[in-house]
Amino acid sequence: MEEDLKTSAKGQILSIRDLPTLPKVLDEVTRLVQDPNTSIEAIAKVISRDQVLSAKVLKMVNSPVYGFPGRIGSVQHALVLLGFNVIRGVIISTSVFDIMSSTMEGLWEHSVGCALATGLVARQAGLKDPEEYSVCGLLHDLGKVVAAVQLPELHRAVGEAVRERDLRWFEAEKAVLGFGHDRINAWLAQHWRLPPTLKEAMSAHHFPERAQLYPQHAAAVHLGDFIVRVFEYGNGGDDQAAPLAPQALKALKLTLADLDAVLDGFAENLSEVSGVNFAPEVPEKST
Amino acid sequence: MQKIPLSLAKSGMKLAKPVTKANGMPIIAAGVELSDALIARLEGLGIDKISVVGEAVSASQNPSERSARLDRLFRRLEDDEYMRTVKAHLREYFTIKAAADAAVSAGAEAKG
Amino acid sequence: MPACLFSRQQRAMLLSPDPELAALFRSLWDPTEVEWTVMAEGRRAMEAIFNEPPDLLVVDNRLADIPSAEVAAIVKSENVYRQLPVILCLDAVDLERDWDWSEIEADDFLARPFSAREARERVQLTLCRASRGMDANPLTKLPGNTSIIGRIQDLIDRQDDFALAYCDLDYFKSFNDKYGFSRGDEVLMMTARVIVNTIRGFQGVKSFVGHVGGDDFVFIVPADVAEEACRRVVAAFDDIVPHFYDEDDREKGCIVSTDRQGEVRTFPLMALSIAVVFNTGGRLKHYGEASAIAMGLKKKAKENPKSSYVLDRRSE
Repeated sequence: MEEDLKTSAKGQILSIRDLPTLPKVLDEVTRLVQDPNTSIEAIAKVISRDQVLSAKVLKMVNSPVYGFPGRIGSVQHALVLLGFNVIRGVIISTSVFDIMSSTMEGLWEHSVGCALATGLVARQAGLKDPEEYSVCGLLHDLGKVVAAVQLPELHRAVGEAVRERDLRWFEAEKAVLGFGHDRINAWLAQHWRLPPTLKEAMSAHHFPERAQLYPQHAAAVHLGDFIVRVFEYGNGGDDQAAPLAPQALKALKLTLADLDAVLDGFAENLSEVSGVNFAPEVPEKST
Repeated sequence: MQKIPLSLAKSGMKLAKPVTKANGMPIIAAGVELSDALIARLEGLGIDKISVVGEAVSASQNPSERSARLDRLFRRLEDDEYMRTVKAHLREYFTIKAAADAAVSAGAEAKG
Repeated sequence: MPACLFSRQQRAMLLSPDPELAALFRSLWDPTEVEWTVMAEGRRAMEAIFNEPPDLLVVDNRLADIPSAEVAAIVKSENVYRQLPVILCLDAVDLERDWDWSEIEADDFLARPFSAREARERVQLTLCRASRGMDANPLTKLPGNTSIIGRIQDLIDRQDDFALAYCDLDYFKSFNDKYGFSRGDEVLMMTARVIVNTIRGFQGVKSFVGHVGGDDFVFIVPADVAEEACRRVVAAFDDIVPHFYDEDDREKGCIVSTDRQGEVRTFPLMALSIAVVFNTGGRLKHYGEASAIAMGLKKKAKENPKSSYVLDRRSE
């Protein structure tokens, strides 16, 4: 019975055609790409804050049509290789959610917060290319979005289980579906030929100790997710702290004390990603 | 009063301090209310930070708030010894941060 | 006449016993544009086709001695003649049965009664399509040498101010040796996209990108944006290419290999070398001059193991 659900769910997940995003994100990107003088960097900056658009460009650039599947894990690189015409095509064919719920918006904030936190963790751990880790953080809950679109009834049931039984979203998924969004992430990453680092980070972020090939990527996202929940920035589906795996810190050679610098960085940089929050600054010495 | 990146400026905000050129020459006076056109002009001039009137500290960034929420956040992890350690560490972190913030505000008020 | 056929007179051959058909085709073009040779019998025509293949072969199914499909098959079965476009002329009754187009490798067909306009446009379309297909690089699908040379000569003849950039990849061979040709192909596909998108990023500017073959690319831009174009292409390439290496090589910034003599050799990460030749004030007369100048510049660019570009600074 469980296997049947998994198989049919997988089929429905992978048959997704139309992945919608938030109206305000789409408006901003549309405005940008309509100006022919906009730089790729500027577009990359905005797209990097949206998990759906980021996923779309990464999926497209890693398609066999372009000739180098599984190689590109950076939104900036994806945009350079897709070019203006194709980017514009992706943007104009992207729709917005029919029923905008605050839960969805919360999930967007949670994801962009996780991207920020994951990048800061990578930097703190002295890893090369922290941006590469940020993308992993950004996409860690993509499976939840796809499930919301492709499996709406089940998605609703998961939400109910969260409320009624005070479960974490991941626990509720396991209870209702028999599998979690990490599994959905694995299906998507495989099907879309995303680079192996991204795939492992997306599918192993709840159990980073199980990551075999890229333990650091999985660990960084695991920590990023933990941190964004501590700050309650956005909404990952529930209002609980994520259990922290000590192996995650070990894999990155970090201690709890090292995390303090990451927490500092997160609070400071939140205004950059939020778009609505102000950051208090140290009052100036003279007026 | 808050200093914010220009990218977060919205029409309706009021300038708390004049916008000046690199050499200090004022371009726009304090008290002026921002409009979309004005923001666009500031973008064109390459201005990247402005000071605006208002105090909106998000709950996410307020350390006292963070500390107070820890019990709720960790409510189902009380049985796990490691998570208790983690929670204690976070409580200490936010308490120190909250105290530091309070000291800074007090200092600013004294000067202001 | 479409630009792709502009450069020289097209030689077409019609195999048909129908004098009206011959007259129709002859009437559609000026003899200086398309020169028609008409033969009424198929078998005798084959030798003529083999000796001097025309640019286009039109075969009427009404031929008495050989079915048009067979003519097509004979032509297409030889690799040296496969590129010759073949159009069949059919009667309505011929179309009452299915045609197995995977067996009969014709490029197009026309059906009676013929519309003169349609016949003309379809023939031109077939000729253009053939020249596109023949010349495209099989991997990147970018225009190949014939188109490149044609475009350069065209710009020279029109005395346009342009810059001609010859790009190739340093250390491409060592990459292929270690990682295999398939991964080498990935790098070429990536390079093609980087060049195309970077050049197209210059608004309102006429440009052209070609793939000569292997790791040799060519792009043409107005002289005033040449330097910036090189700078951007090189920056994008350098940023992306490390991701095509395995992590340990990427970390080291080089490939280490042992050759057959047991010597350990290190090869840096691949780099782009660009040589740029300018045609301003109509100084070039022939595309051959451009490539000769470029070869000299290229040597200089390759002296630098990192990506670099060298601009032809000679004054007019």
